[in-house]
Amino acid sequence: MYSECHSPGSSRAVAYNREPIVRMANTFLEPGDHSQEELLEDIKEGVYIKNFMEWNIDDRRFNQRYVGLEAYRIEDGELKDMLRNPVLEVTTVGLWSAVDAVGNDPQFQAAYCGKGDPMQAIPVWTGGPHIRLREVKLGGA
Amino acid sequence: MKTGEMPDHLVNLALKEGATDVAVKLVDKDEVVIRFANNEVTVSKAFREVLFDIFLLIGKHRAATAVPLSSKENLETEVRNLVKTAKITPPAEVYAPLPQGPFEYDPRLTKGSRISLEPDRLTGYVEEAINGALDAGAKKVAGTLVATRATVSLSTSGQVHVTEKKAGLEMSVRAFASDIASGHWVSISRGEKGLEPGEAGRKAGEIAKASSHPRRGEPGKFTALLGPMVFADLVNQVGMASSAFLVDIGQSFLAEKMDSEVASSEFRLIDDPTVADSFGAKAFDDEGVPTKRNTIVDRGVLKTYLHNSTTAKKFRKETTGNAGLFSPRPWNLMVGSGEKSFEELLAEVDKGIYVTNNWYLRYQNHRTGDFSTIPRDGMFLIRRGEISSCIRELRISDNMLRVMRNITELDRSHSWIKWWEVVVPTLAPCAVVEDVSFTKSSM
Repeated sequence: MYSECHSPGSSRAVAYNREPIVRMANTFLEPGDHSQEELLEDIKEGVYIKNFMEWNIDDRRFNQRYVGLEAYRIEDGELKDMLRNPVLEVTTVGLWSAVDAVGNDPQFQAAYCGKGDPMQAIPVWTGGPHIRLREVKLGGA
Repeated sequence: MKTGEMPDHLVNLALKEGATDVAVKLVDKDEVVIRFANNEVTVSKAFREVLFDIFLLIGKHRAATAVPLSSKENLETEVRNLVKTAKITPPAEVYAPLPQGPFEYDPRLTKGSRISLEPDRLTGYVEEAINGALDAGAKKVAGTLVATRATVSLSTSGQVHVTEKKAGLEMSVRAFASDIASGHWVSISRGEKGLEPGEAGRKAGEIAKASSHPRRGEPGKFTALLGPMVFADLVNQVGMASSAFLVDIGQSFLAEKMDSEVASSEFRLIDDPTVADSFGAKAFDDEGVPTKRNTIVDRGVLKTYLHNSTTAKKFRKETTGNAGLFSPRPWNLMVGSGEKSFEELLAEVDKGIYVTNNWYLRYQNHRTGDFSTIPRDGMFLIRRGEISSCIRELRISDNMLRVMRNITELDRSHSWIKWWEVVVPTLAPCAVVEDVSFTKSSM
């Protein structure tokens, strides 16, 4: 089923000999108004996942998993000792519904978006601020 | 100057400019890609690509580039710039001269196979695939057919001047019985004779039909019956992790495991690009060394890493004919099959999960082999030796060495697999693996 709408101009190809695919380009989470300190200070017991290693997502883009690489325990609003490989295994709805605060500190990075078969890996610019998730179960089920 | 004469010319130019070793590979490729969706062809493209891969050494200093077909003057400028780049590049740990030829190559491998790029003929294969899936019960069918013909010429400063003809067909079929009931299968072949588009469609369609009305699976440790699509992905990981370069930089779970048990005694993994009628057949590696059959794992024991001349020097071994100028890599992986049929394997599983396909295998830790991957398309609960129901939304979250060591049996039949997820052509059977960890989203 196709909706009656105009193209937002999101179609790109990696080369002249590959067909354009609807895909991300400069994609980032809009910053909020919390400083990193403000995000931390309300957390009595939590985990700060600074970056991640393993990740994957299913073909409906619904079930996803991220495993923290550099991560710390949070206690009474302060960063404590490092944690090894916290696992966030969550649905898309579960992930974004748990966001209760968004930072004002966006950071960006060059990356690749992979799509298509044969594969088209295309450069993208992506990033966002810190986000805080409430009542998230870490460790997978 | 003819394009085919350029590799020798560029090698000589680079030597004159100060390089100690040079390899120039010319790939002249014709490719047709036919994509299909909703039971019909949606796009068909034909194009030609000519690419020069240029690699050179100045002792321990290395540089490489890839340049599309251009004028002689432009290519010469690229070579001169590459020499300058190498001169300011930090030195590598070791200097290994490119292997010295001339070598003898297997003519069965260099002459290649013949395939047609005629659109009507290729579209016919697509129709066979679509009809195969529809006849098996699918409602919608999508996928890709890629047909490739290429001439690969390699010249090196080690007296290598060789040309290889290559051809291949890759059919990937995804069938849907509903929006959430799907199946996937592939067929790859070096020639038209070996392509089985109807069979690929049939298998995809059968899985899709059996996947109707899936329910959410429950996590836990289960006996897993891994279909060839899934097992080929795991085998790919073992094959790629056997690259001595990845071992050297600490990115392989096979590091420090030489002559150790890395898999069940049922498991035997061979990289053999000398099988002339197989998709991954290849006469020479990127250093011009003739390829050969290498047994990577024999009865569960790691027997060799894959080497180019640089890693071989560092590990004090001989090259295995798997260059990769920077990182050695497998060409054509084959797993020894078992003795039982799929039905016999299934009948022996009391409580388990049959996984037909997966994607996004990603590592938590390359060195330890901790990973996860997401099953997709048909996934089924097994109860008392029979498939009892279709499930979804589970993830395999385990460790590569533990999975390989927990293989208990392999199917006696096997399929050649290569697609988006499985990069190296791999001949894989079904595998029964005990105690595989399945997880699911917590919220």
